[in-house]
Amino acid sequence: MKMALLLVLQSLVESGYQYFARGEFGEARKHLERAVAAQPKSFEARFLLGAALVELGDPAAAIVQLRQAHLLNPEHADARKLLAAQYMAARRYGQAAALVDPPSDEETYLLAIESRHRAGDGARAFELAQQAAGKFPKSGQIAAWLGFQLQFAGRYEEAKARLRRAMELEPELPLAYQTMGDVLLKEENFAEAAQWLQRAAEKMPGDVETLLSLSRALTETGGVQRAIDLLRAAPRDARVHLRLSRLYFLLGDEARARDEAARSIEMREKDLLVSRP
Amino acid sequence: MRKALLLVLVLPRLDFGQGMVSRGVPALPKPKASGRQFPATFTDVAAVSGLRAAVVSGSAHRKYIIEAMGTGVAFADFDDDGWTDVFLVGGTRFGGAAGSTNRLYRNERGARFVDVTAKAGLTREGWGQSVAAADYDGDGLVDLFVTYWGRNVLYRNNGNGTFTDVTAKAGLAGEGDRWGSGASFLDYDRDGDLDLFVANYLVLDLKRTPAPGSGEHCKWLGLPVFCGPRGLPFASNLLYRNNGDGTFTDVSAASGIGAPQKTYALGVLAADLDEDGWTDLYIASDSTRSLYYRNNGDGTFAERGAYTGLAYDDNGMEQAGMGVAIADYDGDGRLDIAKTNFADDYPNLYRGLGKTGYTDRALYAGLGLYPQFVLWSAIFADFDNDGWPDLFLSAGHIFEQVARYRNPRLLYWNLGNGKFEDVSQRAGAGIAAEHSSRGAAAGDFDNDGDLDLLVMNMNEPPSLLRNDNRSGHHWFQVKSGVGARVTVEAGGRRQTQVVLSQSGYYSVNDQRAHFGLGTAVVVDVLEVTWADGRRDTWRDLKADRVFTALKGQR
Repeated sequence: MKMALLLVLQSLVESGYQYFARGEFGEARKHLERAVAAQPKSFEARFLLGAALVELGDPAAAIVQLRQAHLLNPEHADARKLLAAQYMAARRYGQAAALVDPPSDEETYLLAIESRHRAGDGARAFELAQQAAGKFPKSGQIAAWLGFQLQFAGRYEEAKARLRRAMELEPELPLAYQTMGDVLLKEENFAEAAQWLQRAAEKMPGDVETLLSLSRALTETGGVQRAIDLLRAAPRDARVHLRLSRLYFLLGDEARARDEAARSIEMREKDLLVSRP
Repeated sequence: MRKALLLVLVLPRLDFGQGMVSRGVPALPKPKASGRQFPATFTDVAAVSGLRAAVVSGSAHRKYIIEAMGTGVAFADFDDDGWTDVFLVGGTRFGGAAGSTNRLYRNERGARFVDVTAKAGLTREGWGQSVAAADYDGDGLVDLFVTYWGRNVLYRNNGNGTFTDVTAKAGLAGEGDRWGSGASFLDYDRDGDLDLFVANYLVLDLKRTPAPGSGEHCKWLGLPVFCGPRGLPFASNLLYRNNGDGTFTDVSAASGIGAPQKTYALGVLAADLDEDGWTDLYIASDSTRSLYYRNNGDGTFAERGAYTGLAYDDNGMEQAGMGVAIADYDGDGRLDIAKTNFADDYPNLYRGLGKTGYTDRALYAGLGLYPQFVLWSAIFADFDNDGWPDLFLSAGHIFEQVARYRNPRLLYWNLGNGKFEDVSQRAGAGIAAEHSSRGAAAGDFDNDGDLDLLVMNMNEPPSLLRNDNRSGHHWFQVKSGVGARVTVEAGGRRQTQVVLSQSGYYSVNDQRAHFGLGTAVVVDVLEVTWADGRRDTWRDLKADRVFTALKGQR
């Protein structure tokens, strides 16, 4: 009986994996859910199901599966990393950081830097970025993150040097271009900032942060209408509407400014729900 | 795996999982020093001057947010003898606390202060918050409005050293208890008398407030703290029209001020922000967008903070705003606004652009050095009389369990080029001293021609920071009225200030507009635009004195 169950499980996990490998995540999910139902303590089934759920855009369900997988096999590095990444997507930065700090390889360094940064522990993020730059001198991503940390700390010249290095190592890395643009924005070199941000936007179409920075650079160089056009094509986001409202006001169109502001405020209000004791 | 790792590049940080928002920003590097010597030194003379009673405000083990908010202070000349007196709003503790009352200290010609609270009829225990000072009834004497978590109080100055609680008679008693926060007198309808705006922070019902650490809005950096403001119910703001006969009418609904905004309102200032001749309102909001009520000139207001650049930080994120100050810091003739925020964030320095709103210049100006501090009162004041308003910020954390509760005060010296230099550690022991401070006010209590500071410290006596300014620069003070916009031209420069009944955090600055003149010994032109829009002009006035501007005199 036990052997038969194991064979079924193995078959379900194997078919689930095959579907996963072919990019048929919905089918993979069905098989893997049955595998989990058959054997809740199967690390492979939980891990693969979690990964499929990530691909299907269901991070909350993915976290449930990946957390179980991590508990079943705490030493499995990929499960730990994937769970940490999902915690970050869910803005649970402290939990992500706890999984990957202290880091061991380049990927965990990247996760640890970003999670510490977003959890508000800038000092640790900076320390990790510096450590990582020493350990992985050929990593463009690490160089970009150190550049980002330096930019965040107001050390603009050092940031630019690191970002240039990141671009040499990995010419297609959007973070390096975006951060370079942000450094130049802070230095009020708007024309040059716009060029870098334009390149970042080409590499990361639809990235709200990049589009907001680019719209600011364009506005400061007299391109208010271009900035509006850019943001009107951007994903719907409270800050995009806010920025649009500001731009319409700059053009003297207070009615549209008011409409965009109202949209922005409305989108934020879901976060302000009153707690019930 | 790498694809998964890169899903979340550069997302904005939003701390919805705690009661206060912040951005987790680092301290920015100090710019190269100017090499100039800051000539003012501040010494705490509170004890020797007679300001010895502690201001009670909550217990050490804060269970509710009300215990962390502190109180305001006022420099105002209540007996009209030419020497600015001191009023301190008192808080209390749950279960009561000895000595918890508001206090009025009469200024004995700058040498000492005498506690005249009881004699003045101002003894009152409760959760006092802010104070606004103005002559609401036009009898030439400064009256007081004090906000409470409870019932706000209007004290009429009787002119004989006593005050009378006229709240009910004036129609300001309201219905039920509220948490009144900032407040400001303003002549919003330009009819010549002062109306009253009252902000309400939130609805605090102890029976319905979760225990510290018990919910997602009751944590800070993962540790249990008291709940709020996020997660606690919103309150709406109030506007009262002065009927001109000692009474007020609640026009909150008709004016649009009472419309729900879903913000947690704290510091308030009333000034003509869009330069159309009508007094507007700006309200710093805690953990939510800040509000700019534009006066439409027809008895109504329109909230336009978001698209004028005054509601959020420059990245479009909510901030935990506390106090506000206004001045023309860059000498371009337009009023600019400073706003303080909670820890892990920078203060704002909103530079006025005229009709197109405001832009935040805090980081460019050099104000990003101390994000670790919770900042409260903001005061623009020209402490060295060089003609450029400097910036004082009071500081003090609210969570003793996660951060240093006591901090030094911050003093930024205006270099006259759009930038400020941090002189906090070279402006005397009074600035460098560590307290957990809240409200603060600037005023020339000793009439020596430079601006001193009064600072509320949580459960300690206040600090009275005497300014010993060695610059040798000249000065000019103008006594006018609340709501007046005062402009002086001297030494080739034009400076503008507005006279406010409340600013900073819950506090009142000396209402004599103080101008540093540098080396100029004559004010070429003094222009006063009164709250009702009328304007008077004087010429060729000698420096180093207090000038009383009377409406219609010129």
